[in-house]
Amino acid sequence: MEIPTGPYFKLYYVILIISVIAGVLHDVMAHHEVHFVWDKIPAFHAVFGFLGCFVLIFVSKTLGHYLLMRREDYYDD
Amino acid sequence: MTIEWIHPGLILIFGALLIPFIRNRKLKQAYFLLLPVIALIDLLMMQHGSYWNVNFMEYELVLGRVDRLSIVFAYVFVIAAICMNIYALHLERDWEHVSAMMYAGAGLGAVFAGDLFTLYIFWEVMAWASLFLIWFRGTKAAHNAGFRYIMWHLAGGVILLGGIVMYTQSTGSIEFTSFTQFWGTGLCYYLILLGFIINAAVPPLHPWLADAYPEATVTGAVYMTAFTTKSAVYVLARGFPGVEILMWLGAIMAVYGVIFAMLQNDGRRLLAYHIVSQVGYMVCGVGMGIFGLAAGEMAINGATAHAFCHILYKALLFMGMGVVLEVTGKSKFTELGGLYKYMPVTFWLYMIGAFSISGFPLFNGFVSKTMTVEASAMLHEPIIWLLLEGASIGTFFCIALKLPRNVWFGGEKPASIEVKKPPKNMLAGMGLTAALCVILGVYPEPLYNILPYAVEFVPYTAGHVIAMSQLFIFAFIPFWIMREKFRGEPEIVLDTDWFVRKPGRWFIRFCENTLIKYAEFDEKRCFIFPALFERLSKAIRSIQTGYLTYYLQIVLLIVMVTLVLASIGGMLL
Repeated sequence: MEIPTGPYFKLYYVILIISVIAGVLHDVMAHHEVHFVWDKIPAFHAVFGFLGCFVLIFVSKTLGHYLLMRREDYYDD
Repeated sequence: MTIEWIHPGLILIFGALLIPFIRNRKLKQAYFLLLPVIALIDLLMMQHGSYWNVNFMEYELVLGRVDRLSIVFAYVFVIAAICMNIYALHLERDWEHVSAMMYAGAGLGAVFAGDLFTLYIFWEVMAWASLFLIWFRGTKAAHNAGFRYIMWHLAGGVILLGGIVMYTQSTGSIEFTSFTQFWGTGLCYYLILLGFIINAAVPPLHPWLADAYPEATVTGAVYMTAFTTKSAVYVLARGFPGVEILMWLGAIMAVYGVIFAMLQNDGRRLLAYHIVSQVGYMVCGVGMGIFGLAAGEMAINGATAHAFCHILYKALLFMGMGVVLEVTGKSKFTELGGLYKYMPVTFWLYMIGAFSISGFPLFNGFVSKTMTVEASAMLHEPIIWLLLEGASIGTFFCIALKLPRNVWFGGEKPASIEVKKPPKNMLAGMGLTAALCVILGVYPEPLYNILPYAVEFVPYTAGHVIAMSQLFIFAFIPFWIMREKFRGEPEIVLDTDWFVRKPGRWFIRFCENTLIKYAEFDEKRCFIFPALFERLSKAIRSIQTGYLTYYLQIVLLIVMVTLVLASIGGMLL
């Protein structure tokens, strides 16, 4: 798969890198409350957003294609 | 006698009935816009207290309980009604306006009800009034979906009524207070909760929502997003705060809605599943709302604030998709695409709603959703936290990425669809709603000040802003990789209503076949039963005229008589 390089995407990459750096800096500098184990992982939300999205796609597509999707007139007969 | 309180719901309900009698169109429109404004002024002048206490047999009905919890919901109902009336201003059908305003008024009535009996009456009016917003679409699909919709609500209503009667029998009171301390001590509490969560669309009792809302009229669907589920959130927050099962149901619901939304092909059905998902945050917040804990107070505040913000951005999203449906006549992804050139304003206004529901910083979802999620962190509930935060990813994915790409981008506009110009009032309604979403997102203090408990929560910390930004920025990557897989497929997705619809049909077919067989058998002998059956069915058919307005008039009459009696009682005191 090729990596997209349009002008909007360049902006996107810049924002992406800034968000990670800001997150890591914030984790190092600020003393924030730790509620869960993952609060100690730097840039946890980035990882969570990325993986969580894949998990959701996987679960919904699997459920849909193997169990739930039917032709549109399914209830009509 | 001074009138110390006027019921804002009854302003809308009785006020709506004058709409068909105004002949001049401009005057009619002005009046329609003015109705919720009058109700808002009424609300602004209100003091906390208990009003319109009516003695009914040996019980005391309370039509106006005004306190910190009910007033927040009342405010947002009325503000939303103003935005929605602007959006619906161009409609020619007066009776649709009437049912919309009766629906909104009944929502207010349920929120201000201080006893279970009054609550039940308004609960039913809400179901019936909203039914016509589906039926006015006029299609066969809408007709059938409307029937299923009212069946669910009638079932829910009967369960609720059963619970109320049993509660009254065992305690001798009809007062609507918190049942949390009695939770688990009697069947009546389970029944009342069951009645409430059917209206809150908690899975597996949610399919009426995703079934009916996309079939409603363009403007009717916008009204429906606001009142039924959110009045259910209100009654849950009033009756069952801190009941643990609600926390789990809510968190599961948030993810459930998202997973089903991802598969949808109809834009408005996708949005409808996100109502299920978003109401999940509120139900979860109510479940965490343990009395006396700081986290519990924050959870109730979060649920209430989220209901407030949700009504605004969800109305905005349905308005956006409604404009698409209005100008193209289509709402399925497989029939849409490339519309940005033709309707950029609609797109940008819709995107404000999309960022709001995702919970992006500077939009109103951010200031309310983070509160509920933070409450789950304070209670140290890791699974709840993961479910709620994970649902946010899916929300952003569906509403801010999948839907816009399939409707406004993703190649050229299909040649088969024509794009009309949207009526200006629709865009004006969207503009006002979008403005409110941004204003509350940037400056949430007015909302925080009216929440049930004092707010100590600060949404705009560096930590929150960075976390939410990272979540969405990184969720974009999987979407971009998989974007062609989310084009929309021309299929339907089965849901829990399968368990009612299919076996129900089998049962009816079984009965029909049995009857036919019996009739055939009988025909050979004596002809009595077939003749009787024919008589009976003819008699029943002659009662039914099939005219919508005729049914509407009967329903209106019943509602009117009840409300007139109740309000005369209220005024006299």
